[in-house]
Amino acid sequence: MNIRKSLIVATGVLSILTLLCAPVTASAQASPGSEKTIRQAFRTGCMAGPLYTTCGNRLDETVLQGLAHVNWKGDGVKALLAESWSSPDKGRTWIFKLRKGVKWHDGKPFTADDVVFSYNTYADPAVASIIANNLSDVKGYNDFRSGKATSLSGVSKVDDATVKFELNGPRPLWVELKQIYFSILPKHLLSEVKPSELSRSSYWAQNRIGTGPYKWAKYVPDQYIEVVRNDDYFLGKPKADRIIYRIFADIPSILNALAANEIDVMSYEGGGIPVSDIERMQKVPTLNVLPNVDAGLPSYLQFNFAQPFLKDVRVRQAMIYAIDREKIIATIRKGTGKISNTMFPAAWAQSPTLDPYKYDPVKAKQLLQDAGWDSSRKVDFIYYYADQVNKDTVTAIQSYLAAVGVNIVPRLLNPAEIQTVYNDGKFEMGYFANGQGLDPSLGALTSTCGAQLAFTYCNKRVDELYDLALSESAREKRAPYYQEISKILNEEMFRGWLWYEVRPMAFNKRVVGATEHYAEMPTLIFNLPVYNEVEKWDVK
Amino acid sequence: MITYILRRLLVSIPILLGITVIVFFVASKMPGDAVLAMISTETPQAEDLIKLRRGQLGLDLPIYVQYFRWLGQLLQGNLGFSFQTGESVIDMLAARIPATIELMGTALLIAIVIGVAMGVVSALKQYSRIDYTFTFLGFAGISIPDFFLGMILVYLFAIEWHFFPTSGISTAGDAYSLSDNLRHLVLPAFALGLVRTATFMRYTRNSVLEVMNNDYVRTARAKGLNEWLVITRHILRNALIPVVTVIGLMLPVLFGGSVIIEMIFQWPGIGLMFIGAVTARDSPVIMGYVLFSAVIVQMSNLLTDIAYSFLDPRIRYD
Repeated sequence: MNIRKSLIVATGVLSILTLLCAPVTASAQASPGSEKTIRQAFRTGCMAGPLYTTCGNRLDETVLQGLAHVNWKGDGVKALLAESWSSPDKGRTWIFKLRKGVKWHDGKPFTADDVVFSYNTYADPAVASIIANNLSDVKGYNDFRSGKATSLSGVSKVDDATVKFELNGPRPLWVELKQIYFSILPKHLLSEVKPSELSRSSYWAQNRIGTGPYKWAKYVPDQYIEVVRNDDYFLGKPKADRIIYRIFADIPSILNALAANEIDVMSYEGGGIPVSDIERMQKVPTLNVLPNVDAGLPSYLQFNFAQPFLKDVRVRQAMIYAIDREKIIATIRKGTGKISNTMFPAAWAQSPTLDPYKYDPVKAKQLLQDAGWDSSRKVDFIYYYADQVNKDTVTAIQSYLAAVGVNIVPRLLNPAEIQTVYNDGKFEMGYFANGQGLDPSLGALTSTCGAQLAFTYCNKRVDELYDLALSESAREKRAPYYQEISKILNEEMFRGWLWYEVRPMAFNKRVVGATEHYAEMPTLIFNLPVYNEVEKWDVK
Repeated sequence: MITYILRRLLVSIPILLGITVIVFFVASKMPGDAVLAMISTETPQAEDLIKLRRGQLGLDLPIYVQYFRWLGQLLQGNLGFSFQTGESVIDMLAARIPATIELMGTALLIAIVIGVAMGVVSALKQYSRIDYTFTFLGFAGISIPDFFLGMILVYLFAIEWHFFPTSGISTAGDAYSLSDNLRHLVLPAFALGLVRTATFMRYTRNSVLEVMNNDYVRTARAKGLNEWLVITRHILRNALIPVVTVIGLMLPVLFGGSVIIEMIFQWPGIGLMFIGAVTARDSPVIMGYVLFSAVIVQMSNLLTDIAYSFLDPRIRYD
């Protein structure tokens, strides 16, 4: 056989094969170039829908919607599918009047049946929704979860445009704090699906019919989601023609695409612009960079209170006196972030008399000596943020602590093993961050007796104060309770408070609305849909 | 020949089985599981939810039971369903394989064309300046990791000079056009291919040098054959045999490399899917990818051996 010929044939076959494969990988659909398109970044693995993932909420801001979403300013909720709501008994019962004339994107009317169906679906143990526990205040939740009931008895239809929620006790803030997580799903499309098979339904990827300002158009796996304008949107016709959510598996690629003018809006799930890259992004002329967006995320030294040597408050305080937090912020963290001395990022929830724990290594040594600290002890120290800035931060903490005789041994965890480590409870200390952005009441999830992330810390007064604060709805009345909690957590050094994180973001200047709304957000709101007035965003 | 191929195919069954066993158990030893990976580190979750999800996915069963369940499905021609999205793994693979073939095929083409050409020139002009330059470039190529080259290419050609897009396979949301697709293909294909040219170059150079001094080449020259014919008919014909094997050997390396390049360029092929599956501990998808790539590598080894016997009549498998 002629070698040259066979090589040519082989090369030819390879090229043809290659080119043949090309058209299959992208499907064809014509689109005129004059359309106003907003191009957003979207994270991989967030496609599963609101029942199963908490990182895909941007789709619940545009496609699916809830009764009422939290406002971008974080100061209340915006009525969406509900027109109004009221409680005759201080928050024990809630009556929602639904917006009239709302249609699903397929033309079917939206009714109270959809609301009842949706809340039942979120609570259904066979569905195993990841946000079900936000319904724990609803009557009948525990019976439904444990199999004693087949539906959520606390949610009922009064008439086609009215739904009643009955709660286990007075929850004056239930609408503002719990209801906001839930997007309403179309009963006419999903009620036939077996609950345990709902996650496999083609509805999520191919036909996500909603009620929002944009309609599901197309999902191309690992590439993008396309949604197009819903002219019948109940708050008015959206200004942009479509939104493309481009799917990215990592942050560097998002930054590259922003810098090359390929996308307009950053995603902040899973991290913002690394502080080491802020300067580079600020030099890109097409971008607006918001370097100091408060992530609502206190970073702290986690103490495992199950370890006897960490039970002495002097040891915990000494560790924070030993760390020059201001210097770490100024150097490693490039001036981003704000010193924290308690859990709540919101100023109104902080006591004015918090101990500032100024850097004082002498005092740290003294406290450790008083507590009888054994400086030969090696302390297991876990962390899970693997970016360079956080790695450097851990190294700095390690050397500050070593200088006063506390020797930590850092151990980087993979995100998937964190829960395992939490559960076995053997770790000693760690460098953690935990979102507290939306409302100080979220602190109860991590600092009350028995909470997983409290790691056996228990102060009955703190529990009591959280309950008291939830019995009021006005901020002025709630503030004193949270301020007292903030003071206790500051004095007892529940965690080794370090700073509140920032999550720097960048937006393309051609989109009107994105920068403006994120700049007004007091702290970034994670894990739930936010009313960002997306229908008013425009393209220059 | 037929019996040889059949024997090889039979032998590959236990090999593949062995690979799946090892990967399944090693993957199960990774800390965490699909359910824990799904739960955000920043939200505390109820134990009952974790139990529920594990039960639904069958993760509460002993690991060997999970393996045999998977194997049982496989025997029925089913690779299972993704833990993350519930999609069928076969569909997931089928949707992404064309993109990977496009990328790997182009990269291989780049590597072969550039590598072989450089190798031949290098050998023919042995110890010349060109030879030294190419040899140096070859060493550099072998030493540069492809992800690093990928990042440099993105920085220069996409961010600084705007010649090509930073990532993706086509402009998101636009109608498909071949030119758009090829524009997206250039950087990842070169990142994956250029690094591999070095291997082809060095193999070609060595083997051309070896052949060049053979008697039959001297004879060809002595009988006054023109130099071009000597090179193409007598030298290359024999010298390129070992190069064919390199293509076979290259395939597994390309598979490994494409995982990283697909990640850097957000190229929607099976490599990107694999990375996502590993992070999410999505074992049906991990297993699907592993099985697929193992089959491809086995097949390419077999094809290489068969190609050998066609190209070199001295080799017989009987």
